Amino acid sequence: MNPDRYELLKRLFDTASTTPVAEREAVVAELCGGDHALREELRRLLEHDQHPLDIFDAPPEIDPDGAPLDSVEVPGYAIQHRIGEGGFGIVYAALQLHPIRRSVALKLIKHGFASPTTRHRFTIECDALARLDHPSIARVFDAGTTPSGHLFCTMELIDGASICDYANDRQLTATQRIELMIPVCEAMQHAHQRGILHRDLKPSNILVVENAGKPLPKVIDFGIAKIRDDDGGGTAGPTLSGEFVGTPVYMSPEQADPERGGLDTRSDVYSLAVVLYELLTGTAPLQSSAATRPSLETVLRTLREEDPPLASTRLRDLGEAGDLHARRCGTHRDTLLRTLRGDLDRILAMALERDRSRRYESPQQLGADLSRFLRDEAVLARSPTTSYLLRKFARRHRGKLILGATALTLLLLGVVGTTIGLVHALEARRTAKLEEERARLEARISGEIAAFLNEDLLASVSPEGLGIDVSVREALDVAAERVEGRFAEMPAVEIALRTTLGSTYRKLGVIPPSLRHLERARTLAEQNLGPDDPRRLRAFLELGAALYTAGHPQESASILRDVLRRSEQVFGSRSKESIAAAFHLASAYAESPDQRDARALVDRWLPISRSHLGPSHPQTLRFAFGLGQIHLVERDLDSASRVFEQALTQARSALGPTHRLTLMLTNEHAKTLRRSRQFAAAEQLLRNAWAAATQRLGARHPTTLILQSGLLSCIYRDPKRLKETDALLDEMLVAWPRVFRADHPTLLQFWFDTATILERMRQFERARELLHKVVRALEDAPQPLVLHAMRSLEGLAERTGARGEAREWQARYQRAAARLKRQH
Amino acid sequence: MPEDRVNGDLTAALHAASTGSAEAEEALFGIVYDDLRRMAKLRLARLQPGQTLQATALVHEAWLKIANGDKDWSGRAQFFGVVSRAMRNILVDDARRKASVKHGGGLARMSAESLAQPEREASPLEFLALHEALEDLERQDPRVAKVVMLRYFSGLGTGEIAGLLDLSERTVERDWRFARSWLQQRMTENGPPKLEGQAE
Repeated sequence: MNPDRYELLKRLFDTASTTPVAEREAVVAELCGGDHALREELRRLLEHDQHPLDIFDAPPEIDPDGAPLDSVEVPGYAIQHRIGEGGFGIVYAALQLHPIRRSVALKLIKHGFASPTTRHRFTIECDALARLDHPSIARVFDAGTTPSGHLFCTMELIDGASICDYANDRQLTATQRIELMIPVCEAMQHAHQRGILHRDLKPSNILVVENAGKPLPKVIDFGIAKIRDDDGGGTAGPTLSGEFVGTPVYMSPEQADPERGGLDTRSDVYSLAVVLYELLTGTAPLQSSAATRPSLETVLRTLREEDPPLASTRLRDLGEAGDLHARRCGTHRDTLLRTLRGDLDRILAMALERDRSRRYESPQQLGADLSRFLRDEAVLARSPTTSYLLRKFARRHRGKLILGATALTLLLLGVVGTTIGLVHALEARRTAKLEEERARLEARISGEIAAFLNEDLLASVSPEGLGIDVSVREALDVAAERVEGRFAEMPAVEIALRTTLGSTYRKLGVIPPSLRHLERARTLAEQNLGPDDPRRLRAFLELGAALYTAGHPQESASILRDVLRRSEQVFGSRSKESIAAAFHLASAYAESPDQRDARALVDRWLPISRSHLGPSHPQTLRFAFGLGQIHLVERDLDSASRVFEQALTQARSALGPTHRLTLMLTNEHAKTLRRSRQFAAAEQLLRNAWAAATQRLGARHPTTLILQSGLLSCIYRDPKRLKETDALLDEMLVAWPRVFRADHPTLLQFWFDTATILERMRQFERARELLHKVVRALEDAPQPLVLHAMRSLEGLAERTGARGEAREWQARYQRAAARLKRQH
Repeated sequence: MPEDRVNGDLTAALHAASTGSAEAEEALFGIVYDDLRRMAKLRLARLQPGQTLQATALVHEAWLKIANGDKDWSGRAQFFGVVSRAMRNILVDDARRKASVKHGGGLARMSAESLAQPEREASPLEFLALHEALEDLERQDPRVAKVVMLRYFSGLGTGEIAGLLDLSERTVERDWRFARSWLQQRMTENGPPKLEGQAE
């Protein structure tokens, strides 16, 4: 009926039906005039009005004994059992009987949805889907109508788990999870190229099967996918029931907001990213917390206006759930966080852009960027800054880095070379008298180089990671040589490089070159930078730390006091720079017999570190380590034990049982227990840690060895375990030099500690032998350990009655001490 | 699926649907449909012989569950819009199934008198005829069709419908009265309803 006529009819009906029955005939005649058809229609409606069907009066009822949908028969198929049910259909496992016998998934569309339009669309869709041919897309075989009028289609039967369940059950790593998503991206690209959007991508629609032992994801349920319209990119159109359903959490913003226009390939990109986000963080990006029912405002805002948090931010904020998820990824939260930060955060953020014009254009682009991430290449999602590209280069070569010094040398040369290239570029600019820009560029270069060296290159070889005893030092030496004289024109760059080199030498325990570079950085900084310049403060901070390590606590403290004061003003009193300065200053103070200054600093800065860097941040744990040490000096064993125990719990869960800091805390805690004569408890603690380390890292890993040496300290006093002690000693004395370089600080400390034990076991000759090793290694580079070794050798000589030798060691000790003092 | 999860999904979907998005509404629809089905199954299992289950009672129950006693909650309009549609689909499902069981799925044996036969419960064919006529009305006059949906499938009163659709009560009353007659006329004109598999 045309709208005008319908409107007219309705208006007339309204008028006529409200007039008394007796007058109606006359009213109708008057209203319709000569339009007989209209008059007839109106008369019929009024007739119905007086005699309505019962159906309009009684509310409809639900029939209790209707046959269930399961009883529907599909010719040619034997339905076996129900797999799943949704709002629109039921999926069964079925056996196709002919032309070939095979297991299929049979999807039966519920009746209420099978309007002619739906049926038409359904047929078209199934045809299109049947043409998809990709290993990661479940094949569609057949479609049709059952005798009872139900629409059905059959698909490849996938006996797999949802991608998230699969990844969690198998404890796949973040890398493996990403690898799993790449074929999914490719599959979606395949579908998009054939004009098919999925529109309901979610973990339960991506199943993983194992094919020749390898996981193979399969995208299923294009059931609600719709042929992409050419006009308007596939708007939902009139919502005849059964056309489409999405799942809110995985929906793109344009799916939740029709004003943004219809869907396109980028909507699937969004959903793919949601799934990846869930794989990596354990939660969907816009998932509201499970505990609270979201208000209307909240949901509206999240769906339409809010950007999801960065994946790493989400993981960081997740609390215990985050730890749990990290365990499911076979790692610890901090490690997973590091993996997410940077590229993956950017890739996900780009794919989850609310404005789809800023998203990846296609699943293929997303997949390509993920592949680039896996190969440590620069990703599209990031703007390529110098430091970023350098970082990528370093990551790509990390394997080689660990293998040997050559690659590392090349890499450092590469960095320096790059810098030189930048310097030349700068020269050209300078002649163009762009002094201001030069200064800015110089600052940027120095910042980027420092960041690159600190955070990436050297972090991967720093002793905190342990286990990497490559000739980092040689590589550093070569690189350091190249720095000489190359940066006369660019003091800021030279300061940054020398600060980093000095810091790295210090972390490797190689003090003389560390001090040399840092002293040079100090001189340059004093000449070229203002007293509050951040780069100057960083150089001074490192110098202070190195002086402390070199055994000059007072000098260290006088520098660090100033650094701390200025850092609080320049970086803020809650900044990581200030916290680091406070930590090193506290360490320097702690060297004096009076612990009060150290104690005051730790009392003030430990809470700040805890609240601003986090309770399990390495810096916080180092503070706790320091506090425990102070308690030990104060002979407050209970407090020390408590502090170590708490920090140890944090370190274990955040950094893992085999992280250097965890290990140091384990050792200190065990030491505290031994000092309070709880040998059994100490031994238990170390044995557990040692077992974990052996299992995860191997028996010959430095961490494992260090734990083993702690065990030695637990048992050597017990005369009943003499044999055990000897066996352990023999084993360790062979193993250690194989793992550590002859001048590795950890090895030297081990020689010294073991010598002390041997002395107590009255094995004087063996003790002397070990102490000699220490002295030989450090003769040219005096530091506190060598002084301790000389003192011990003097004592040993006394005990064995070698008076002459004792006097000789006394003299050597005094010379070395004087030399150490003279250095500063 | 645990109860709270269903409710959580439902609530979220409901909020999403209140953005006016057709697709979000479809998502909500799927959830509501499943939920109503589940509730119906539970109720039916507990019914005594001879007792019947009114669809509108089920809708009312669903509403109590979702609204949590908040009568002025702004999700009302979306909820009842979607729930009416879901209930209609459930009833159509049932009616089609019964019709195909009773009549072997064939039009041939369908007797014309079943339309006129007064029953306490509407016959499946009559219901299907109404369903088809309502589809016509939706195309002709969506607003009036909405009034019918809310009144017939959700069991809402004139006042409630007027509030939800922002109409006067008088308009709602007039719409319903006209629609009833129009649908009845349509059912007569359309003849027996189509059963799946036979049409086209």
